[in-house]
Amino acid sequence: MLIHCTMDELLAIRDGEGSQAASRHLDECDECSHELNLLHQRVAALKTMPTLNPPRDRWSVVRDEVLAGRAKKRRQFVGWLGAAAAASVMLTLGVGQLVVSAAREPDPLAELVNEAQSLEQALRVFRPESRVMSGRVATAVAALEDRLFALEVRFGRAQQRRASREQFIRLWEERVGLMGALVEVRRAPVTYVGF
Amino acid sequence: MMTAVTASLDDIAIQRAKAGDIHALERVYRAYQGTVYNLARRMCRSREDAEDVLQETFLEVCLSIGKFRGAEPGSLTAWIKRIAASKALMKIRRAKYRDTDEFFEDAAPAPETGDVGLRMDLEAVMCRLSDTARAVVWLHDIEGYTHEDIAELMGKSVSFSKSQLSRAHTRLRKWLSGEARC
Repeated sequence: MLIHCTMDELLAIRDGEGSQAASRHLDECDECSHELNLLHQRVAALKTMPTLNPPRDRWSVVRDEVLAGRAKKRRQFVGWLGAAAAASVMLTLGVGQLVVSAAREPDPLAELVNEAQSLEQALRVFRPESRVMSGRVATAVAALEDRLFALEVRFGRAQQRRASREQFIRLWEERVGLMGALVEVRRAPVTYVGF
Repeated sequence: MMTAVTASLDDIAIQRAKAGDIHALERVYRAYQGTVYNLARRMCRSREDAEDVLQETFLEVCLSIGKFRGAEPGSLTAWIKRIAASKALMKIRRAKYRDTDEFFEDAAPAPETGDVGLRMDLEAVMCRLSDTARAVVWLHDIEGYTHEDIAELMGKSVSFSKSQLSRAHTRLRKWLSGEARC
C-alpha cells in the first residue's frame, strides 16, 4: 500500500528539510508532486493578495501620544531635578548640622591631647633648669617624671597592639593627670638663682 | 515590502527620527504605515484590531527608534515589521477569550475557479483559520519568518509553530479543493 506524504512532510520538503525517504517518494508519486505544486500555488496566491491600506490616518493620534509622553517625562525630570536639589540642600544642611553638632559635642580624646599640649607649654615656661627646688619637690618631680616615662612605654605598647580608642583615652587621662601634677609641683614657690 | 516612499526615507531622515525629530518620525510613519497595516490586517481578524496594532506599533517605533542600531538596508523595515508582528500577536492573545482557537468551518464559501477565484477564496478561507494559525501562515509563508522566530514571538515551541502551519495548510487545501485527501 502506497503511503503518501503528509502535509508535515510536504512542508518540510518545500522548506528544504524533508527526509530522503519523503523526497524519494515525491519523485515517484504524481499525486504527492501534485500536492506539492498546489502548496506552492497557494503560497504564491497568498503573496499576490492585494496590499491593504489603513482606512484612517493614525499619525495625529500617535504624534499626540508621543508628545504627551515627552511632556510627562519632562515634568517627571523637572520634578526629579527639584527633588534632587531639595535632597542636596537637605543633605548639605544635614551635614552642616552634623559638623556643628560634632563641633558642639567635645571629643574626649582631642580634649585630652589639647590639655596635654597646654600643660607641656606650661612646663616649658617654668624653665626648670633655672630654678632651685627643695629636696622634697625634686623627689616628687622625679617620681612624676618616672611615672610619665613608664606611661610613654605603655603608650608605645598600646600603639603596637593597636589598642582601642577607649584604652588610648585612659592613657591620655593618665598622662594629663601626671603632667598636671608635675605643673602643680613645679609651680610651688621657688627661688630664682641669678647668673 | 519596499515602496517608493520607503526608499525615499534616507539615512539622514532615519538619523533625525532616531534623534526624536517629530517631522522625521512622521516620515517614518508615512513610509511604513501601509506595510504595518497590511501585516496587521492579515494577522488580525478585524480592521479595528489592525488599526490598533498600527497605532501601537508606531507609538513603540517612535519611543524606541533611538535604540535601533541596524545599519544594513532593509533592517529598519525588518525591525518595524517585527514590532508590528509582536503587537499583532499580543492583540490576538488578548482577544483569545473571544476565539476558542477553533477553525470556523461553518462559514465555508463555495469554491471558485481560476487564479482570481483562488485569490478570492484564499481571502475567505484565511479568514476562516484561527487567528493563531493565520498568523503563523502569514509570518512563515509570506513574511519569511522561521519557525524559531515565530516560536519566540509567540512564546511557544518550534513544534507548535510547525504543527499550526501544517494544520492550516491541510485546512486550506481541503477548503479550496472541496475534497478530502487521504
